[in-house]
Amino acid sequence: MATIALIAIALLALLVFVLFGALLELYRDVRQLRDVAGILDRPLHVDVGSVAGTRPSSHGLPQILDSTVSGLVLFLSERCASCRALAAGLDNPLPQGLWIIIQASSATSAASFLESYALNGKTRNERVIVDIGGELARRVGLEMAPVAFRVEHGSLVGATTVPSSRYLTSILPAPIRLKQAS
Amino acid sequence: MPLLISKAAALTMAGVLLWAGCEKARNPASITSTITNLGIPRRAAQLAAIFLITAEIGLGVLVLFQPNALTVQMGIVLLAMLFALAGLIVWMRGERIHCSCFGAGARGYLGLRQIINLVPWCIGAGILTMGSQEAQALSESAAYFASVALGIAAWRGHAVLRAQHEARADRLSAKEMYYWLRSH
Repeated sequence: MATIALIAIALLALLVFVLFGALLELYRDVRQLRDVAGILDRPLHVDVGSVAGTRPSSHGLPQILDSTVSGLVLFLSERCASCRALAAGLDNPLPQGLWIIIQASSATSAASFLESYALNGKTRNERVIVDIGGELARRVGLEMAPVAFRVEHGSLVGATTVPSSRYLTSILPAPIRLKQAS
Repeated sequence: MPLLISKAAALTMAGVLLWAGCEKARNPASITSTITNLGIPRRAAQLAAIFLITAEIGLGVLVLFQPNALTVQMGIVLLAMLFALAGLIVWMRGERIHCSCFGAGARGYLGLRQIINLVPWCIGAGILTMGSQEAQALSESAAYFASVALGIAAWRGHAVLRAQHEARADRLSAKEMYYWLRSH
């Protein structure tokens, strides 16, 4: 009896093995389809349309951006896990040239978000802006997050999605300092 | 030959043979394609694929139930020689033919690897030959069979969990980034 049971267990285990194989192939197929459709977790170019070349302040963004040579405006949403992952990975102080817009449904949820990721102190420098109700995002025509807008010589020039902290680090404006001759 | 070594050899060979056989059985088209690419006509390749799958699964089970049987040991060596011959043909032709040794999803091409793998298979068969000649109890063999089957299922299950985790992360990320995507 025990022998028959063990053989039955073995046969069932082999069946499970085969089914697992089919499931694994299914996950690979899905990944391939997502890759082809371009919705894998990789940066995607965002068509900013008529926003390109405009002053950031004309869309309600901080006026200081109008005089910025090179900057990045990162839109994060409190509802988005990728955004939270990015917020958690932000340095203190914020990297130079980075502004953060936090889209929140209410002041309370915004405060909670800022506190969760230690972004409170940075608002004093006005580089972390809370966008209650997503008004700023709507003004630039944004319907997704996280997205980073590039600012060059005081104009919005383009945007991409930001799938990871590593990608964010790679697109942050890095100042080039001249070495003075001694 | 210490009992432990011959048991370990039997279990390992059984695991590999059952894995390979079941993966081929799940998608016979892949191995059929490989055999066809070797120059064998399609119809014959289909029959050869069925034979190969049966041989692998059969030997995988028999090596657990009758590890002492000469036919089983010879069968393992012959199977390994068959793969080595395929590898040799492809290597000499300089072609690039997908192996399908562990199913369609596995990477790898026919070539030197199959020739080299002949050595451990022969060593394994040799270990079985030198192992205990006493007949193995049916219940003991059944226990080994269950252990190997559960082992390879668990190994594959681990890969499934990793893939599921990755797919879930992609799905959540897409759902959050693209508001127009419907939720499921």
